[in-house]
Amino acid sequence: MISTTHPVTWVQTCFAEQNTGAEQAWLSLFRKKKLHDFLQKGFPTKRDERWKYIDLSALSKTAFSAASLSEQSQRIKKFISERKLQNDNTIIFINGHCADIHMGQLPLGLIVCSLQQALLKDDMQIKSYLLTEQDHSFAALNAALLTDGVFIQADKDVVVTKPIYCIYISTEQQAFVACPNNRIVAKENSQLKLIEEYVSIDTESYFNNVHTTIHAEANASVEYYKIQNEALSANHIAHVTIYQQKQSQVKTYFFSNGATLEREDVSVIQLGDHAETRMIGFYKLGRDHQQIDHHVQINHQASHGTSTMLYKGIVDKKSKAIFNGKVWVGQKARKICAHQANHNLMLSDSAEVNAKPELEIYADDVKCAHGVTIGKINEQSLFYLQSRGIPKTQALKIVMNAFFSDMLNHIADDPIKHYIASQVNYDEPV
Amino acid sequence: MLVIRDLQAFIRDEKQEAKQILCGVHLTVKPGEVHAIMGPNGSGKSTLSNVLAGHEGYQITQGDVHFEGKDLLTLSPEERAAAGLFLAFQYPVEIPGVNNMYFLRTALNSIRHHKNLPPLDAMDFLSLVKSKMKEVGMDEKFLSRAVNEGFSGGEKKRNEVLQMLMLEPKLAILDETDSGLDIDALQAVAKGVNTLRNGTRSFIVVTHYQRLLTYIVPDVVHVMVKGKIIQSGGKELAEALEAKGYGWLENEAEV
Repeated sequence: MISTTHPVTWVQTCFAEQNTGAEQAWLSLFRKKKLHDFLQKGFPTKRDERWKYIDLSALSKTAFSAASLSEQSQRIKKFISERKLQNDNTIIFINGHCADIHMGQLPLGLIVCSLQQALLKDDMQIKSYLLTEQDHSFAALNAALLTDGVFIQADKDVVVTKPIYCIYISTEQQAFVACPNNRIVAKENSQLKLIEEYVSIDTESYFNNVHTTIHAEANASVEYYKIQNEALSANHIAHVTIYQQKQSQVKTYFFSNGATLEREDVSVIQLGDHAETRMIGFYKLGRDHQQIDHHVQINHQASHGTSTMLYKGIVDKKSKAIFNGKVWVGQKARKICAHQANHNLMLSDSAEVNAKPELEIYADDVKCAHGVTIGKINEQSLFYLQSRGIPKTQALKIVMNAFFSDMLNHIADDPIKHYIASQVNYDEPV
Repeated sequence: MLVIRDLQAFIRDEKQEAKQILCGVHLTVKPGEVHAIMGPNGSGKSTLSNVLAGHEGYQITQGDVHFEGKDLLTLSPEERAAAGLFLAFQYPVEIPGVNNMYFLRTALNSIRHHKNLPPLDAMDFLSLVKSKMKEVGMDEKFLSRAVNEGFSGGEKKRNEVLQMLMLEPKLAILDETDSGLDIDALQAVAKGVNTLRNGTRSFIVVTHYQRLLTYIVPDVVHVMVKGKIIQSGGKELAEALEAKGYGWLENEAEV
């Protein structure tokens, strides 16, 4: 049955534009099937518990067109060279298409290529990856309108110390939809650091529907940084799925700053014993009608796993922040230690925060804790700072920065730490 | 220096009901003078201190305050600080996540900015703050801690005096800085004040007890009861209060 929020005619138009017939038969068939799936499902509605607080109507109202690759102009090159996080290992996406891959000294055993390159080579791993079903509308949409993506694999024992910086630039084209799909594999004992940053140059109401899947195999270590600095009226929907094998360590950092609509769905699945997960998130909302929604889930399916989830946000004007954190512990999981916290600072009376911590535990012998706070700026702190001659605007900044200074201390990588600090106007303590 | 005329103020309690706290305060402080304000709990001493520093929680209904000729009540708290007014808080605020040294340097450089002085760089600041810390007997480890967070009562008050020494105000108001202090901390506070005392700098020392006034000898002692200054005198008034309590003055006031 086709849902009532439909029709989303732009999806069909985009599909037709993209269907050039040049791709392999299996992919063409698969995409067609996914289009059908999407058309059946439509976008989620508020009747769906997981999508209850977010308003997705903008996605059906705008007629998006398929993303096209713009030329890498001098302007874009200059823009990239000025990015603080830019380094020897930089992968550039323009409107969802992989435009360039710069890899300095590529260590032996590290594969980096675009998803389209991998498909051209008929890579069996990528084929089976894409064919793995994910049963929700944004996954179906991502597959049906697949733009490109990055495929990174670190072989056994390969250690990549420098972060791989993937920058997704939206530019020139207005109102386009891009569906990147990234696959990251860290084999046994390997180490990887990955940054995904989303930015725009002179374009506004586009739509990025991103998929990222990360596999951390036994004893592997992965750090994943996601920096959302989209244009102010952009839409950003992302699903990140992380699988962890035994003794693997995964750290994720989410930083939400731009966009009018953002939804981040992060699911971490601990499949092997003694896995460690640390998830940090920060969101800063400051414009009317801005919505940022973090749905974070950790599934403890194996024993002796630990996880910490710490999300903090500052919410101003008439904006809306949503946080849903879920810790799930399966029946067979023993000796789990899970900690979850979400703290919100509201700067305006018309802002809204919907915070929902959830624990779902089917095992005994686990240690889980969670906590949520929603508070206002402490007026006494402000007065104290002002009474020492510090202007009110600066005092406010100091108090806001103090609110999340502990989060920055969790970031081990200095350049990334300084960059994120500068993004939120954090003054470095002397 | 400071002229307060017929100052009246109220606060709204939890039920939003107005509660008159200052009922017509008159006070004149000349340059170089130390004034002590004593009085029982709830007499309005702390309210007066907070109103002078610019706390927004109080509604002023009548009267005016002039500080070096400027209309103080129209200034924001930071402008008052820049003009040379300093309040040592009765309950210094803990600000987790804000480094104490960063706070002190930001405060000092804000005041310097107002005085059109260049900001102190990290090195100059560090040597200055270390020498001042020695004066108030504060361990240097408090520089790297968050502002007042987890400080003991005495450490918080020493931190207030440290700020006063750093900012070198023209008029310092010490709001019950002596409450809950052991004798060492009390002497450190008194020493801080006495170091700054000179022919032009003024102090208002709000206290319950005569004890602090043996270390900081006041020029004038005022007694505040029910939102008014009901008696003023020399330092012997403080001694009389210590011996007789406030009762005799309160009774006198009601007649």
